[in-house]
Amino acid sequence: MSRSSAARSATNAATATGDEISPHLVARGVGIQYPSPDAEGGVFTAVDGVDLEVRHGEFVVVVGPSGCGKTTFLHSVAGLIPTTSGELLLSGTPIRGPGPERALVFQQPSLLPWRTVRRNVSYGPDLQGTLGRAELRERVDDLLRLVGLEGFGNRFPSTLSGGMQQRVNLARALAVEPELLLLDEPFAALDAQTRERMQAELLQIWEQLGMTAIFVTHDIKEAVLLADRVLVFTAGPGRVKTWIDVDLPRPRKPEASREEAFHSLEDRIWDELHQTPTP
Amino acid sequence: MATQMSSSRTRTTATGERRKPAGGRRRTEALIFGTLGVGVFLISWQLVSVSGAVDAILLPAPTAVASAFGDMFTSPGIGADLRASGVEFIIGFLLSLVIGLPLGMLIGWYKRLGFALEPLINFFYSTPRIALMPILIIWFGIGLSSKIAVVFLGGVFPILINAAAGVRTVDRTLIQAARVFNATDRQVFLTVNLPACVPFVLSGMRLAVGQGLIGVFVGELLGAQHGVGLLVANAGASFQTPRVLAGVALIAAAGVVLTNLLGLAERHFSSWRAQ
Repeated sequence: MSRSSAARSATNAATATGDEISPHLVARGVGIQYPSPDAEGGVFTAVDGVDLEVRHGEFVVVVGPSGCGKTTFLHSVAGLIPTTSGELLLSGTPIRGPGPERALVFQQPSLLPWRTVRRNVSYGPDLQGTLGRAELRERVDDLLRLVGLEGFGNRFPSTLSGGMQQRVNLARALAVEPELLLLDEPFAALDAQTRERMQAELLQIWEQLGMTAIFVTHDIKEAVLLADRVLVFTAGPGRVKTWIDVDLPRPRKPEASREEAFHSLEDRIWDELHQTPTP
Repeated sequence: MATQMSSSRTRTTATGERRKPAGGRRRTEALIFGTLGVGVFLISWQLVSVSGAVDAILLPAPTAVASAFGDMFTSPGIGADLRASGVEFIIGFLLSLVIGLPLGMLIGWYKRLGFALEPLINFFYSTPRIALMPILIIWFGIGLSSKIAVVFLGGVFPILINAAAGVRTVDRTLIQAARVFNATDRQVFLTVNLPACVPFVLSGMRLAVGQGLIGVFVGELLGAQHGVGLLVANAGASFQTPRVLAGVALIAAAGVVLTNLLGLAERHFSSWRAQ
């Protein structure tokens, strides 16, 4: 009980700053469709009627069956895919495209292979032209230290392991100092051990930097470990099924997954995912 | 058309540091056996010529070719010949780069432009460009211009086709990654498409060098005022076979040097490639 009350007081501390009045991200009746020759009528509905609110500084994890449109939804928040209906508001302003206050970590590292690690990390600020040379160098140094890649700055991505590449991917997203960090199954392609280490590192980084995070995964354990709240999507088209509060204490360590409370949360999410939807 | 044209040697370049010893031994072995092969060939050739089994006019000894090679550089008019061939090659090659690179990238970028131009490109690429020499001579005369034109026609297509393939094969997620950072079209092009295409273009340039040298040489054989090809044609007409072979060796040497220089550039620009 003491654990959950600690978590609540942390949540209260966050909401006390007035965030209750203006959530960071609001979706109202969001639908996303795109043309697809395979779909009925040539239009595929990825997401339909999604309503949700994400508070400032919150860590939200989205889970759902594969093909439920969770990645599409995330890409819409990133500004890569336009919504077809409803409203998607970022701090009260409709999302019309990508913006410097958001960054996306892709499932595949998607690093520029001809740029060194350093120059991959500085890619966002390079494009946005917001930083001076010295300032940029300092930020890249900080980020490489943060993701544990000191001394690898001058390597090319092809010489790094999958886990290291994904660290660079994360550092690249953090380099624009996003208020909203979007992560699309960033650890799905990694081996189990590397994945666990990366989860722990991501937790540390998020606790340190305190931005809002939306993380898409199909890994239930990962969801419970990372999230303040887990959002469960239904499949085809994606809709919000339910929210599950994860009131485990922070800072959270991977060992938390051995606790009884952790298992019961996993079970609840599993049940939500495997309930046959009513027709 | 969509496939990249390249020789297989690019792949072997980016060997990892750890594999260097093995790679070094490979290279030493290649050097030893390569030298051996060439040596055996030259010695057998020399023996056949010296034995008198074949008339020296038909097959001069390598030593005779070597001395003709030396004489060639002291003969009158050699300066004008080298200059003519050099100018034809350089201007024709640069033209094919200046036109082939941007046009190829545009074709790769704009799908419909590609659809519109690909049949024509395929047609011209399949035509032996040297077959156009007679009409190029009618259009441009027997001076430098007709040879520049044939070098250009030989070089522009490999460069163009490879540039288009380079733009097309870019990983889509790289473009998305740039978009997430709010990159403009221009930035996406400059930071993603252009660098992705460099190794492809260098492969195309290497093919263009070969085509260009053929263009210079055969173009001059068919009719010219100056040039190494003309020198060879004249030597042939007067049965100076050592001089013919010396001229051929000169063109071959130019080809080897240029191809290797481009190979070095390729290695440099694709050092990031996966091992």
